[in-house]
Amino acid sequence: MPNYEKPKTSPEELKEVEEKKVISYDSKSIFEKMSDKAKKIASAVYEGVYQMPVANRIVGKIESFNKEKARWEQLLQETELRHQNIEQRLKELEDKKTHLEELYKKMGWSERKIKHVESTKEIEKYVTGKRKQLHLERESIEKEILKNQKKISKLETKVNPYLDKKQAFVRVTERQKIDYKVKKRERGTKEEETREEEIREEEIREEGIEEEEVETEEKLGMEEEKEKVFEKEPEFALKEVINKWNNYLKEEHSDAFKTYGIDELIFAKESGLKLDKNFKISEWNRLMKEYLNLYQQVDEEKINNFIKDFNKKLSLGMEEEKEKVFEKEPEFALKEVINKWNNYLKEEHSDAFKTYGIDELIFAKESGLKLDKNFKISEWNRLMKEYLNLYQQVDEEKINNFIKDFNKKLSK
Amino acid sequence: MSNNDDKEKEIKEYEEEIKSLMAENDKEMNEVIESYRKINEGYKNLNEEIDKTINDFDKTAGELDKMDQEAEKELDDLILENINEEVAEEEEEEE
Repeated sequence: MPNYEKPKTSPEELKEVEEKKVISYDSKSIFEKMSDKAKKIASAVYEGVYQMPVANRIVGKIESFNKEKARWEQLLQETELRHQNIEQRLKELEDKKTHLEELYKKMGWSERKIKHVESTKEIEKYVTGKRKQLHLERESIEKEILKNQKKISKLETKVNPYLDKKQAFVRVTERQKIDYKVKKRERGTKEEETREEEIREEEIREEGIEEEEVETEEKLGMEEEKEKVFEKEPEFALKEVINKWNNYLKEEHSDAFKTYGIDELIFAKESGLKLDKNFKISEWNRLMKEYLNLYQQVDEEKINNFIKDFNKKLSLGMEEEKEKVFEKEPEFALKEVINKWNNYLKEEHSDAFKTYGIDELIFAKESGLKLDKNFKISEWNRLMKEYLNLYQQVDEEKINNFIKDFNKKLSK
Repeated sequence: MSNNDDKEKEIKEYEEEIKSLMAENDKEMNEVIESYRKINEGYKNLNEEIDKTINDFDKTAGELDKMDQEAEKELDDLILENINEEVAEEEEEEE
C-alpha cells in the first residue's frame, strides 16, 4: 500500500484516510475483499454512472407524460371551441326570452305577471344552469392543469441535471460526427472523398446545419497559433491534456478555474471520447472551447488568450524536460519504467517509497494504459506526477528533484 | 278577441320553438360536459402517475443512498482491517 504515509488506527486518525479513500476502490487488496454487491456499487460510483439508469428511466417517463399532456391539451382546445359555440346559442336563447317577454307585453301583460310566466322562467333556469355547469367543469380541469404543471416541474427539478447532460451529450457527439467526417475525407481516395462530400452535403441539408457552423481549424485561428508555438504539434491523451489544462488554470488563473476548469469524467461521457484517446493540441483546444460553450457564453478573447498561453507553456515545458537530461529521449514499456521508478525510490529514498511508490496494476487501471505500451521518459514523468497528484498534495519541489535525479540515472 | 287569440297562438308557437331549440342544445352540451369530464379524469390520472414516479424516484434514490452507505461501511471496515494488519506486521517486524 504505497499510498498511506503511516498506519492509522483510531477513528479520529481514520478520518485523515478518508480523503484518500478513493484509491481504495481500486486497490487490489481491498477491492477484491469487498462483497460483490459493494464492488458493483463502488465501481459505479467510481465511474460516475451510479444513478444514471434511474435518471434515464425518469427522462423517458417525462417524455411520455408530455406526450399524454399534449393529447389532453389538444382535446381541451377542441372542447373549448364547442363550448364557445354553446355559449353563442345560450345568448341566442336569452335574446329569444327577451323577444317572448315583448310578445307578452304586446298582449297587455304587466311586467310582474310576465315574470311569473312558466316558459320564461324555464328559459332563464336553463341558460343559468347550463352556463354554471359548463363553467364548473372547465374550472375543475384548470385546477388539475395547475397541479400537473407543479408536479412536472418538481419531477424535472429532480432530473434536470441529468437532462442537461443528456442534451449536451447529443450536441457534442453530433459535432464530433461532423468533425470526424471532415478528417476522414482528407485521408480518403478521390472516390471516397466525393462520396463523403455528398453524404455530408445531404446531412447538412437534412439537419439544417449551416455550412458556417462547421468551424475549421483555420477559422478558429488555431492553424496560425500552431505554427507559432509548436515546431511539431504534440499529441496528448485526453485524460492527460485535461489534467494539464486544469493544472494550468489552477496555477495561473485560479479565479477562472470554476468557469473554465473541466471535469474529465463528464467531458468524456458527454463527448463520447475515450480518456486514453490521443489528440493534437489544436484539436483539444477546439473541442474544449466547444464544450465550454455548451454551458455558458464563453468570453472569446479571454479563452483564446488562455489557450495561447497554455500552448506556450506546454511547448516550453516539453523542450525543457527533453533538453536537460537526454540527448535522445529513451522509451520504456510502462511496466518497466514503473519498476525502475520503484527501485530507484527504494534504493535512494526508501522513506519516500510509501508516498511516491506506484502500484503498476492500479496505475494501469486508473490511466487506462496498457502495461506493455511504450512511453518516452518525459511522458512518463508527466503522467506519474499527475497520477500522484490525484490522491495527495505532492511536494512539487521534492518530486521534481526525484524526477531529475531519476532521469539522470536512467541516462547513464 | 280574435287578435289576442292570434297573438297567444304566436306566443305558444314561439315557446315550442324555444323548447325544441333547448332540447337540441342539450345533446351538444352533454357531449361537451362529457368531454370536459374525460379531460379532467385524464389529467387526474396523469397527475397520479407523476406522483407515483416522484415517489419511486425518491424511494430508489433513497435505496441507492442506503446501498451506497452500506458499501461505504464495508469499505471503511476493510480499510481499518487492512491498516490494522499493516500495524501488526510492522510490530511483528520490530519485535
